[in-house]
Amino acid sequence: MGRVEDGSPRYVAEDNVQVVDDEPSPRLMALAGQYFKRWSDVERRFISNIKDEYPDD
Amino acid sequence: MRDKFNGDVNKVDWKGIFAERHNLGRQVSDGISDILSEQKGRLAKAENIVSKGYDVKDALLQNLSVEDSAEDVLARRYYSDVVLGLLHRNMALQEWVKLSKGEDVPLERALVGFDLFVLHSRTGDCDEISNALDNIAELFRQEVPGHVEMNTRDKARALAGYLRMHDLVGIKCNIDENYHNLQNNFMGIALQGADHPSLPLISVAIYCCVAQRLDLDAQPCGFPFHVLAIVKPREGLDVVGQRLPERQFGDPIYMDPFRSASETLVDSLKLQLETLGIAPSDQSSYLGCSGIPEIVRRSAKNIITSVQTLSRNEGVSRLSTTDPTPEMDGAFYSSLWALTILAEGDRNTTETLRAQFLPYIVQRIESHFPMDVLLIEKFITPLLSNLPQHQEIFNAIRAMRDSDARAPREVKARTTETSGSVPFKVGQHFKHKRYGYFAVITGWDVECLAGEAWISRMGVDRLSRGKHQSFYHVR
Repeated sequence: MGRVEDGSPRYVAEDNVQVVDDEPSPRLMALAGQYFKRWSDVERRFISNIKDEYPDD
Repeated sequence: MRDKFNGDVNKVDWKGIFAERHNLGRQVSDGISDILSEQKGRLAKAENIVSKGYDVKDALLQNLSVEDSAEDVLARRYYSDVVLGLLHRNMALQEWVKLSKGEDVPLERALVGFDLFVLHSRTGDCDEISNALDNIAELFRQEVPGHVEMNTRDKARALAGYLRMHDLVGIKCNIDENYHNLQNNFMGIALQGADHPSLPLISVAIYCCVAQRLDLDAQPCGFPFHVLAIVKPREGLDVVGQRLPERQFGDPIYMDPFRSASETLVDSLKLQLETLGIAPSDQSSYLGCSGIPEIVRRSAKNIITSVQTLSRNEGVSRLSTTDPTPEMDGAFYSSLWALTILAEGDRNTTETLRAQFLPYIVQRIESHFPMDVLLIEKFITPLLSNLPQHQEIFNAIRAMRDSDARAPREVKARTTETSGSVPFKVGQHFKHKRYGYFAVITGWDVECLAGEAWISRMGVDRLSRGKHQSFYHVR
């Protein structure tokens, strides 16, 4: 498991998730475009572009 | 459309061009919006944009640099980059396929193919590289006014001297450490300006491409271990301009712009060949022009060597698209394609070689370049037959097509049940409690759905609730 944020797909247990408010790094912002429309400063999360798969998220 | 810029100003229908361009721009933006609107059917939508021709590039670049405040900024930039990559690779493969069929492809168009795989929005596609080479030739004409009268040898040396002085060829600092740097393999990157090092092959390519613009017949010679330029005098003359009997060709000279501005004497080359155990009677093939396909294959192998060297030196992660250094993935991928399309030998040999490379190409398409199913269909399927190993490729293509047609595989709505047991949501930014990295949630499962092998390798059972807790797909 790498410490480097290389954007590869990973599978993470609930126990290991610690949600943060921080603005994502530029690299993560660029990769996020695959699934998300934009980062919302107000809501402190990415706005989903995969509503066809996760309609309620 | 770009050709029209070279035509007579008065003859060109500028109003018509701007209307055409505006219309195309809108079609491209709409096409991107279409891709963004749902996961299904993206292949056809991307193909639709690319099929409008290379002129869509400007519109793609505009979408790629949409303002930060746009409602779909990240998605639009991402997929514009994806389609731009597809457009670039399509161009590269077109040229390599032409080469593979024995058609004439200029050296610069053949080599820029590698650049196109890693270019993204940087400057350095076919037209831009040709312009850069034109500019260098023009500057040479201005700075070296006596060049017109020069004989072949003097001109060859003057050009090498000029290119070296302006750092357009060779590696200036720390040759040993930097020799296998990935960027040294890319003509476009080498031409970006001073201090951009290049391997002998690329240095020679730049030399030859500029030389040809100056009426100097210079071509790459694939000498063992170190590519050289072979410069031939005009028919009926020798390299110092003396007349020869009509129809006779004088002996060529050899230049090594990577190392020096001076000529490399053929005797020293013959000596090197002898040391390598190559008998004088066999030497002529090593001393002649290499075909352009051979140069492309050689560059592909150089790239693979550079990538392998980089991988061995640890700590190299995937580089961002704004990083001027070419990404390892894209570079390696370009070489796989080049070696597949330009596989050399008789029919059996080429079939075997291709069968070796294709699974690696498919693997990368599945993981990094999903749109490239389109490129396999266009450029590879014509080369395939009924062999069993080819059947696997057909199957992989069909699977990817199906996946695109049916996407998403499953719709995961939140029931009252899942709402409770899946506390985190798609789009949340988080830190991994154990490994410390930051990532974003892109999906979830109510329980761990990985196979037993993964579960035991990752030590899932050591977690307090083991595999019976929600698991998240993340990037």
